[in-house]
Amino acid sequence: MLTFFAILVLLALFMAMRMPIAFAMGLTGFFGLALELGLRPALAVLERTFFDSSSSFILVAIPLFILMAELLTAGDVTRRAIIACQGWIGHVKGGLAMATVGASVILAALVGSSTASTAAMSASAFPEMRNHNYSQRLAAAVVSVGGTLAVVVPPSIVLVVYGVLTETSIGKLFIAGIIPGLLTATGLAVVIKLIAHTTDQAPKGAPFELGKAVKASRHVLPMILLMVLVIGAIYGGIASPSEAAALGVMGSLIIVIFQRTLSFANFNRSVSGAIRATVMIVAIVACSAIFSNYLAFTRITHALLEFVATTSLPPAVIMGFIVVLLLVMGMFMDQLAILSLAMPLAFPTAMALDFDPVWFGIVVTKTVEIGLLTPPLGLNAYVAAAQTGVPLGKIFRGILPFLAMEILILVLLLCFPQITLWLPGLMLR
Amino acid sequence: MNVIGTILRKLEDALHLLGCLGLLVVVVLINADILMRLVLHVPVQFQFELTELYLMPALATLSLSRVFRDGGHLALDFVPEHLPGVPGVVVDKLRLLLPALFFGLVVWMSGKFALHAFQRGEVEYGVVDWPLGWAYAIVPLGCGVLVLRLIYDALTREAPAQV
Amino acid sequence: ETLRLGDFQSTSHIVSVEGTTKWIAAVEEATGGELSFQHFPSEQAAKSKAQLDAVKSGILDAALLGTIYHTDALPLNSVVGLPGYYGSAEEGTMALQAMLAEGPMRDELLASGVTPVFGFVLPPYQVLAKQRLGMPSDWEALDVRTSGATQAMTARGLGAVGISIPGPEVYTAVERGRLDAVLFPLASVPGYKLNEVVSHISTNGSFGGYSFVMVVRSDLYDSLAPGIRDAMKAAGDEIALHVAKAQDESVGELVAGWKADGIDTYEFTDDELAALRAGMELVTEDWVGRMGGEKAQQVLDRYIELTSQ
Ligand code: NA
Ligand code: NA
Repeated sequence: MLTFFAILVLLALFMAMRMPIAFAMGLTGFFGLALELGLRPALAVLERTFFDSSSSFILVAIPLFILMAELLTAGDVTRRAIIACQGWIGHVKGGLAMATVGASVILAALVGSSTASTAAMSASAFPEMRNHNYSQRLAAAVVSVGGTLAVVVPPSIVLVVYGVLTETSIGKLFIAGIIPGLLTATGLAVVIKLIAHTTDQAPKGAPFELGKAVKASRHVLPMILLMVLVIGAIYGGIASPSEAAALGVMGSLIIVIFQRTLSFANFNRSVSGAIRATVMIVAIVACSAIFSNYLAFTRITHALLEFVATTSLPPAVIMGFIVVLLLVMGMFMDQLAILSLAMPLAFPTAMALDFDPVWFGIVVTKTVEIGLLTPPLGLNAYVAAAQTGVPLGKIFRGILPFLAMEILILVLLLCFPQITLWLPGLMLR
Repeated sequence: MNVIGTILRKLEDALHLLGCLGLLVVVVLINADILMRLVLHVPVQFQFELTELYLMPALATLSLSRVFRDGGHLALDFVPEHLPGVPGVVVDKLRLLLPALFFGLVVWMSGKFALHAFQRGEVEYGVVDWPLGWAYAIVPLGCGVLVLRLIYDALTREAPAQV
Repeated sequence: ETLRLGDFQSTSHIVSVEGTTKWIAAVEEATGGELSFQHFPSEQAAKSKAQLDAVKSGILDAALLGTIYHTDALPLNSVVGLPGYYGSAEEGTMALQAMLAEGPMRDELLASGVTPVFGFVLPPYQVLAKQRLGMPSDWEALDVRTSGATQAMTARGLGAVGISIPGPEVYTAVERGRLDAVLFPLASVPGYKLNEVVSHISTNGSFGGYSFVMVVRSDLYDSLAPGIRDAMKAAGDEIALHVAKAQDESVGELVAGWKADGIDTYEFTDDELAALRAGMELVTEDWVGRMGGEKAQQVLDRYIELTSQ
C-alpha cells in the first residue's frame, strides 16, 4: 500500500514537472511494475504494449473523425452555419448568441473535439457578436461553452476513447449522445435568454426576414447532408463507426473542394493535425495500459471491487462520489487524461453496481466536458482566450451561469437514465 | 550538434510523412471497401487486417518524435515552465532524460520482440500470411527516433536565461 | 506458493464460473493452501493476444490461453478451430485433452516454454441469422460476421462473405442489417444480446471450434512438488470435462429459452450437414497447406479419429 501511494506521488510529481502525461504514466507504471513483479517481467510488459494498444481497427475512428473536423474547420463551414442560424433567430434579444449555440450544434455533429470547435467558433462567431455590440464577457463565454457540445453530440473523440477503453459499443454511445447534447444546447439557450432579459449584454439584431433566412440556410445544406451520411451510415447499417468516419472524411473533402475553401497547404495541415492528435491520444492509451497493468498487479482494483460488493452504501452514493471525483479531476486535467486515469477503476466499479455502460459513458463524457469550463485548467476557456484576446478571468466569470446549467443537466442525466437510453433503445430496438 | 539536429529533423519529417500517407491510405481503402461491398458485393477483404496490423501502429507511433518536437504531447501547464536556479536545471533535464530512459527500454524490448518475429518468420494467418516482424518493427522505429529527440534536447537545450 | 494466473474472460462467463474459478478452488483445496492463485480476469494482466508471452516472460505464472490468439506460436493447436469436426463441447474436450496429454500439440506448447495442465473447448460455433440458412445455396453472397482467418474461409467456402466486426458492434450491425448472419458460440449469445436481433439459430452445426488451454510456465511447473503437480492435473482433468458438460447443458437451456421466445432454433438435416461439410472441406485443405505438411496432417488425422469416435 505504501509503495502504491509512493507511485501515485511520483506520478503527480512527474506531471507537475510538465512531463507529458503519457510519458509520466508509462514511466511510473513501469517503476511500479518493476517494484511489484521484478525488473525482468516489468521489461517484458514493454515488449508489445505499444503494438497491442495501437493495433486496433476501432482506433481508426480517432484520426478519421479528427481529419474530418480539420478539413471542415479549415474551410468556411462555421461562418456559414452561423449565418444560417442567425437568419432564423438573430432578431430576438440574445438571438445572435443563440444562433452561435445553434451553429455549435451543427458543428458538433460534424467534429469530435471541443478545442477544434471552440477555436473555429472563436474565430467566426466571436467577432460577429462583438460587431453587434455583445459584451466581451458573454460573447467569449458562449463560444467556450458552445464548444463543449462537440464531445457529447456524435461524433466524439471522447466517446470513441471511452468505447475503446471499456469495450462499449461506439455506435450505441453515439446515438445515446444525441438527446443529452440537444438538452444541453436548449439549456444554454435558456441561460442566454435570461441574461439577455436581465442585462444589456445581448442586444437585438436585424428584424426577421423569411426570404433571407431561407436563403442563408442553403449554405448549411451540404453539412446537414454530411451529418446524415455519417450518423445515417451507422444507424442504417451500412458501416461501423470507424468506417462511417472514413465516409465522413470523403464527404468533407468533396464539400470543401466544391466550396473552393481548401488549399493544398490547408489540406496538408489538416492531415498533419489529425496525425498529431492521434499520436498524442494513442500514446496516452498505451501508457495508461502500462499504468493500469500496474494497478491490476497491486490488486487495488480487486480490493475496490470487493469493497463495492460488500459495502452497504447505496449505489447512488458511490456513483455520486465517482462523479464528484471526476469533476474535481476536471478542474486540473484534460478529458483524455481523466479517462485514462480514472476508467481502469471507475468503469469496473460502475459495472459491479449494475449501471448501464452506455449511460455511464455519457455521464462520464458530460462530466469531463464540464471540466473544460472550470478553472484553473479549463481548456475551452484557454482556447477562447487565446483566440479572442479576452482576459481569462473575464471568460471564467462569463461562463459561471452556464456552468450552473451544465451541472443541472448533469444531475438530470444522473437521475433519469431514460434521457440517455431512450433513443438508443428506440433506434437500436 | 547542428548537423545532428538537422538530420534528426529530416528523419522526424520523413516518418511523419509516412504516417500522413498511412492515414490517406486508410481513407481510400475503407471507402473502397464500403463502395465495393455496396455495389459489387465484393469487399476489399485485406483492408481490415492491413489497417489493424500495419497502418494503425504506423500512424499512431511513427510521428511520436515529430509531435514531441512541436510540443503536441499533452502536459499539465499550471506550474511555471522553468524553475529558477539549480533545481530548475535538474528538473529541465529530468523531464527529458527520464522519458528517454523509459522509451529507450521500450525500443530495446519491442525491438528484440520484432527481431524474434523476423527470425522465426512469424506470420498472422489472415487473408494472406501477414509477416508479423514488419508490424512489430514499427513501434521501435517510432519510439527510437523519440529517444534520440529527447536526448538531443536534453543535451542542447540551454538552461533558461530568463528566470 | 502463490501463482499469478492471467485470464482474458470475465469472471461472470460460464467458462470462468464452471472452469477457471472452480479449478483454482479445487487446486487450493487439494493442496491444503500450499498452492494458491491470484486471478487476473478480463485482460487485467495482459491482453488476450499477450497472455502466452506474459507467461513465458514471467509477468504471469499461469494463464488460460485462447489458442486462437496464438496461431503464430501454436499453429498446430489451431486444428480445433477447423469447422466440421466436433459436435459438442464434451466431444471436443475429450479429443483436446487426449492431444494435450501427448503428441505434437503438447510438444508445441512445451517448445514455447509452457506446460499444458488441461484444456477444454467451447460448444461448436452455430449460425445466427434473420432467415433459416441450410444448404450452401442459402448462403450465397451473404455478409457473415466471422472472427479470424479460419472462419472467414469457412464463410467463403459456403459462398458467403466473411466480415470482421469488433464484438461490441455486432449487435448493431445485425440489427441494422449490415450483417446477414453471425457465426457465434451460443454460450456467448446472451452476453451480446444477439438473441434479440436474430430469428433463426442453428443448434447442430459445427462452424468451427474454440479451445482454451490452461498453461503454467515450464520451469516453474517443473519446480513444483510432484504431489502438487498431480493435484493440478487431477483437478484439471475433472474440471475440463465438467466445464464442457456444463456448457453443453447451458446451451441446451438457452436453446429451450429462445424457442419459448419464438426464435426458430433448428437442426440441419443430414443432407444439409453433408453439403455444408463438403463446402467447408477447403478450410481443412488450406490449413494443412499453410501449417506445412506432415506434422499438420498427422495432427489432423488424430483429431479426426478422436472426434469421430
Ligand atoms: Na461531435
Ligand atoms: Na477544468
